[in-house]
Amino acid sequence: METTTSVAPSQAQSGVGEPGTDVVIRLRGVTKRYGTVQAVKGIDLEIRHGEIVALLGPNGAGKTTALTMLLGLLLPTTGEVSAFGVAPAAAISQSRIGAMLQEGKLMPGVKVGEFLDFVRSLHPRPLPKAELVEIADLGEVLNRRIDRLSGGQTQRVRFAMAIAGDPELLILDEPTAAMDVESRRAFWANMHRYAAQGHTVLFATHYLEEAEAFASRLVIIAQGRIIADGTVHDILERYGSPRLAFTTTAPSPSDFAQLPGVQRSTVQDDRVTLYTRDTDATVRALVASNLPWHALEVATADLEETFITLVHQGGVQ
Amino acid sequence: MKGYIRAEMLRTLRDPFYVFQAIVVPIGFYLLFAGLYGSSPHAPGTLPGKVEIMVAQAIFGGIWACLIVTGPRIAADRSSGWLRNLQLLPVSPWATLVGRALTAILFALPAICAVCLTGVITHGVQLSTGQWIVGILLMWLGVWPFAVFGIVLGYLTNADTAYGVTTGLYFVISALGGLWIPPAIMPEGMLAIGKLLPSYHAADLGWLVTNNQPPTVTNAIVLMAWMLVFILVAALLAPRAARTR
Repeated sequence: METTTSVAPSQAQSGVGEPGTDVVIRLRGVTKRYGTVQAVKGIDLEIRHGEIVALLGPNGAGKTTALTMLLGLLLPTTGEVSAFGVAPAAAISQSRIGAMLQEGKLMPGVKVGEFLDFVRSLHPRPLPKAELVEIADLGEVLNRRIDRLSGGQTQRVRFAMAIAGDPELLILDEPTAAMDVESRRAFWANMHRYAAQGHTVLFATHYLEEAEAFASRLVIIAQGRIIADGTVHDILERYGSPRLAFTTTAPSPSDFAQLPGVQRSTVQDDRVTLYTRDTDATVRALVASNLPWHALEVATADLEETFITLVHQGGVQ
Repeated sequence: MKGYIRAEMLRTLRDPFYVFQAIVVPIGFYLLFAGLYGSSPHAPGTLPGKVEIMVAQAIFGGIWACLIVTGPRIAADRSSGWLRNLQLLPVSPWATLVGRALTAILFALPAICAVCLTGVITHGVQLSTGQWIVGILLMWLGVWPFAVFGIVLGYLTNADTAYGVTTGLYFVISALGGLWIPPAIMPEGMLAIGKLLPSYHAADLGWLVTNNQPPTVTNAIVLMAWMLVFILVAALLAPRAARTR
């Protein structure tokens, strides 16, 4: 389940050049075991300059563990992790990675504005404060103490902390968790603007629509393994099942499941839905069969359905 | 580093535990004890009560300033996950430790001066300019080991236990070091233990200078030995403490 993109040579120390040619992140044979629990069972992943990658997976799939290792906060049990050709901690100390975790408080006792001053003081080329405040939408809370913010406001401060040093690579773990619908939309609008300047972004989310709208590439993990990797289009084409739905008067609707291409079927009252690998073949066979049907509807694969199927299959393996 | 220290200082100024316990409490104790014993007659060659108690309470406040900026706050920052988030920024764990210790030391100075000023204002304590400068400077240097001791406590405790453990040890070390009962009237066994502690020697620096005597080599050796021990223990604990969960 590798992508078909050509693999770039390991000229990893430079982040410049043609987008899509430089490897920014590389994980090789990475596993992580906590006691008897194997949280990550073997991940190989390369992310290239300029890509916007969504890491998707059900809770407990290993998303956060993988991101935490990518940030050098956790060492893999086996395997190698590098960013820009060096250890993640070294890349962080060079201000090349900005990151946002889901958990953990920010410096309690200081005000948002003071916190931004502090974070900016650590970077050689920080974003101008006004720009940072605007992108992260913090204008109204600059004088509030950081430990007295709402969940959504805290997320915005975390985001500001991640981009303050104008890093080449942004790693975000569930950036819109704790945000309401409106702030989530505003967040992605700002993020779009920021990422358009040629940044590489890797974010974990469990909102499929965010991944679909924002990412150029999806990496789906389940049970500690990558089970699919590619653009939304790739993934739908490769793993998605288009649907045929129709109404039938047949006494045993399960007969339809025997048609060519059909992977699985559901029946609700007299309405049958067939998930097929090959729409054309299934439709032809349906027409040729003498089973009774009417009100045929054909729908292309949808990401949520595909995701659920994939994760289910990945879990069964 | 400068940015980090500035942020730590802002936190300290808003921390009621600093302002209250490092400044207000020692001033209160000074007013109480000096009011009771400050004017009693004293043998020739010994310090008047109002000066002896001033030094003791200045050290008492200075020690707390060193401990509160380090111990309970490091423990809280470890449990709250702030230290974990701090690892996402280009600042080394060592720099933040040094930054904390420097902040602690910096905040000890106003705590020491506050009690001295109270002595001057309320009890008319009079010392030569030289005695004030050298005395305050040496008392300040004397409490430095406690900034490192606080780091050790921050590593050994967690958010729930840090405050209690720090406060408990602080009281014991202060009492044994002669900060509550003048060494002259302390039971001999207690004083023998006290003379091994940095709290006693930090105060002794102040007592000697205000009594026109030079500090002793023992003062320096004991204080530096504790400083070294605390640094070594902190360095041993640091890798373990860096794993915040």
